[in-house]
Amino acid sequence: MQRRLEQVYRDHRQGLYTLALAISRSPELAEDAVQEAFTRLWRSSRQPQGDIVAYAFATVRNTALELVRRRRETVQMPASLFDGTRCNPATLASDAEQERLVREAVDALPIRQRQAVVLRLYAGLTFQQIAETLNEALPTVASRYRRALQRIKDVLGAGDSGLGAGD
Amino acid sequence: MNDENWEPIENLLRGLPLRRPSPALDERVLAARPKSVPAVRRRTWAGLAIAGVAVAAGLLVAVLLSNRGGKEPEQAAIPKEKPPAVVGASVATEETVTTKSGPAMRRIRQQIVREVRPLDRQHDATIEWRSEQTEIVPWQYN
Repeated sequence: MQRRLEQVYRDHRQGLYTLALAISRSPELAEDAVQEAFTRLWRSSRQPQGDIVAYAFATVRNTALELVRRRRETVQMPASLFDGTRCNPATLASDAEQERLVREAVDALPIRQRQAVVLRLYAGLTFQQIAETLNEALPTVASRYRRALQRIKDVLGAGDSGLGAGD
Repeated sequence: MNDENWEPIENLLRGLPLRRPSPALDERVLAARPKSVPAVRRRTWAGLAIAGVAVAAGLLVAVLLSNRGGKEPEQAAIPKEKPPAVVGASVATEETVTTKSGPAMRRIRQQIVREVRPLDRQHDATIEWRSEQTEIVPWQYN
């Protein structure tokens, strides 16, 4: 069990942290949440019933939500999910503005939609795993994810973005 | 909504550089792993379990043996060996023995021959074992 959890952490380190960050909006709180979640997982004698990856993500999520409730007043400036000092190497200079808009759009998503986007795109989870993590029905999760993408597309403006996502 | 329509925006989102956790996070998370203490605990529990099973097995054997011993004499487990038949004897020495108060006795030392194992009775072939034995009998018996 311990080895499997350790492997989950090593394989999904970035995704786990990004999920905690998407909830807490604080890099420090996100790290605390990941650490505390794994401390709980390792101390727990309970065997996960379903997918161990979803189980670890769910523990991180719950811990992050708990820490946010506990230290709400300490989060002053919500941090972005993205690293402002680095650029996507594939992005052309002309697309830099578009990239900035996308970052802001993701950061501005409602928390549940943001979690769905993070779990799908940055943690690489299946919709089934996302449903287990969020403890919600799979169709609910899938439609929430698509609503999030729609919202981002709307922010960008369908005509200028060139993304071509038809409604 | 068609799934394929979302691919461009999904690819765009995937390409964004994420904020990374600090390198210290690994140390913090992995340091919280239960290491030696639980391992020792696991070994201790395993050792105790094995010892418990051994003690229980020992007690069971002891109970079984004591029950068996109560019902039958212990010798019953080992069949008593029948001494080989005496096939011949000759008197080696003979002497009179007297005691302070009792009657005179005679001590006879005999050479006896026992048939250890018949090899072939038709040809009268046996393995024999010669030995001496002494018996004391009252004088008047002889």
